[in-house]
Amino acid sequence: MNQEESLRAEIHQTLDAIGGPTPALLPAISVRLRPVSPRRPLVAFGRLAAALAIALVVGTVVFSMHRARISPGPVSTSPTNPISAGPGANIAWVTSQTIHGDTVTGVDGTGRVVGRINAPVELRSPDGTHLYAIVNSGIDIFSAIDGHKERTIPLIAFDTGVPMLSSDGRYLAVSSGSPAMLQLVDLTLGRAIASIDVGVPTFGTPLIVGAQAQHVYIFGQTVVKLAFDGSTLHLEQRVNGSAFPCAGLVAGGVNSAGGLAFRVLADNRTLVAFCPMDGRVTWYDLEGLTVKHEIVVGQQNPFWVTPVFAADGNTLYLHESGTGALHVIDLVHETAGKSTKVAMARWNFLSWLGSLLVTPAYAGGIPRSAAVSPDGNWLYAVGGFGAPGGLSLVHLPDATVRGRWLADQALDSVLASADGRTVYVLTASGKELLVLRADGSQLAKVALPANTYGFIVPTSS
Amino acid sequence: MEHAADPDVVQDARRGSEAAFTSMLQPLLEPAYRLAVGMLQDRSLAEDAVQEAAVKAWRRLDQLREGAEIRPWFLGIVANECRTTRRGRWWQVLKTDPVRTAQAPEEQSAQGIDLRNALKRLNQEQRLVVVLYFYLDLPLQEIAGIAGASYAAVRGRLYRGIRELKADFAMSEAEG
Repeated sequence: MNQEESLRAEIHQTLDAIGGPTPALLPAISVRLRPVSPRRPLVAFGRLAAALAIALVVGTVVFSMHRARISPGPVSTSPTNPISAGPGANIAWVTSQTIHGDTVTGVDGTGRVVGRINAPVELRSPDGTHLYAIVNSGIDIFSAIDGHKERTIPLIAFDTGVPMLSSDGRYLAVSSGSPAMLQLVDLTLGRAIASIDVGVPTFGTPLIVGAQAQHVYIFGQTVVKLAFDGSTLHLEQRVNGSAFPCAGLVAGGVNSAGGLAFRVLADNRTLVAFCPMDGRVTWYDLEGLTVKHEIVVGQQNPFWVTPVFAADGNTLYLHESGTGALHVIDLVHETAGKSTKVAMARWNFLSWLGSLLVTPAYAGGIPRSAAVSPDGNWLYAVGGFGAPGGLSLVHLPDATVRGRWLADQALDSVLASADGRTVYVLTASGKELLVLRADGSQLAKVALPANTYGFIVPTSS
Repeated sequence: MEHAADPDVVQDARRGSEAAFTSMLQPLLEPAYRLAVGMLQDRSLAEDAVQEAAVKAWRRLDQLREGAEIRPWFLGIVANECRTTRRGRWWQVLKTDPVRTAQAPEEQSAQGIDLRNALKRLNQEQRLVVVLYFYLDLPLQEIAGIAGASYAAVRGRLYRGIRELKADFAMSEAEG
């Protein structure tokens, strides 16, 4: 009996002892249904009438103000000037769960499977050329060209670690709870260069700031600020993290691969973080460790919004897959622009009403319903609710929808290749990867293992 | 997942047929009760939660999408009901009681109590995923539907839950 089966057996035994055999619940339920029955038509009618009234008002406003027009005809999102990408950067890597653990599959722009990695890959370098898996004894580094393991960088052993790359991909920091420490790795040197015991509790997401990693932060229950002088790390400041949204940065969790929900601005002292729980965008002063400014864009449901940062780091796009709303946040001026309706599941008045009535769900992870082309001109956005809606093409300079691909298909997530010539789309079923050219023509359809759930996107995406 | 309700039965239930609704509900009561037991660790609270969830499901039948699978939909309502139950103030009082008196003898084993306590210490979302995966033996994709979360998020919660469970459990054993 393996460990999983052993734990399963123990849980069965423990909970069976509490619950015993299932009692006869139906008689008591039937009694409680009866008083409800006569009211059902009235309640339903009342709800529908209220929802219709709200929908009429809101729909009119939305239609008149935000509904984007879709011009007919083919649209190409190919970059005007060729973009050179590093080796392997144009390849899509998707994660599947098998009975043997994680399998990460690489697919190139022709639909050919170029390699498979059997490891829990958590990060992809900002330039897309390498993939990183954290293991207890270190970091395994894989080539994004074909998935072969290039090397392992040993670390001081830990139970659970949260890794994060610096914005240029040179450094990697791992924060662990047991032992409670932060380890800093220089990937160009291929070794750990410093570590520090920062006390308890420290577990959180690391953040590396500065070209030489002059500061390393840990965002968790506390916010810890460390200084790095080139050889050693030392504790500089420590504050309670409760004021920070989400009680720390949201890094997407193990393999959730939705991209990062935070960025450090060019001034190297302002962190902007999006909180998927409440739709809050926070500007955080990394010098004083205080919140500078906040905007709440709002969302129909927690975890429905995909945060996508523009390549220049000055704009944050927030796409809500369930409603198709696109919010544009100016990170420099700390303002939210007008929201636009860009993509949603095929228009269905009743399903939209239904979304109003859905009980807010508890959810998690960062979705990947939108991606920005590498030249920054286009945003690809898929609809929500697993319904057909295709892939909308939003021309970002004027925030208009210029076309729609695969309109009859239900899609889940999207990734643009580093050179902008290929668009990869995962279907809502998670069983197929569609490979598209930048003119929308479909090059290939790749069958994937049943439990495929997301791209490993570069940390710059 | 093969728990799509018969469309005709759903239609009848939506029109107000109690018989149709209870026939839909019947096979779901056992997993619902086990889910509630796993979340609340109390027999009578679990019974109440399932009953309440059934009444809410009856009222919300219009929200069940055409062709949608009924088991994740209903278990999602049960899970929400368990969350509501746990949020109640009276639960906080009960929660401080480490050992109840009306427990089966086999439950009194130190290991069983350790595991119960370890499960209790998981946050609600982790506990939900752990219970659905290990106790109801459901696949992660269906769990994602019940939890209203992405597959990746559910998997992450399961991993973290197992880690915390094992760490917590190991610590209790060591202390013992």
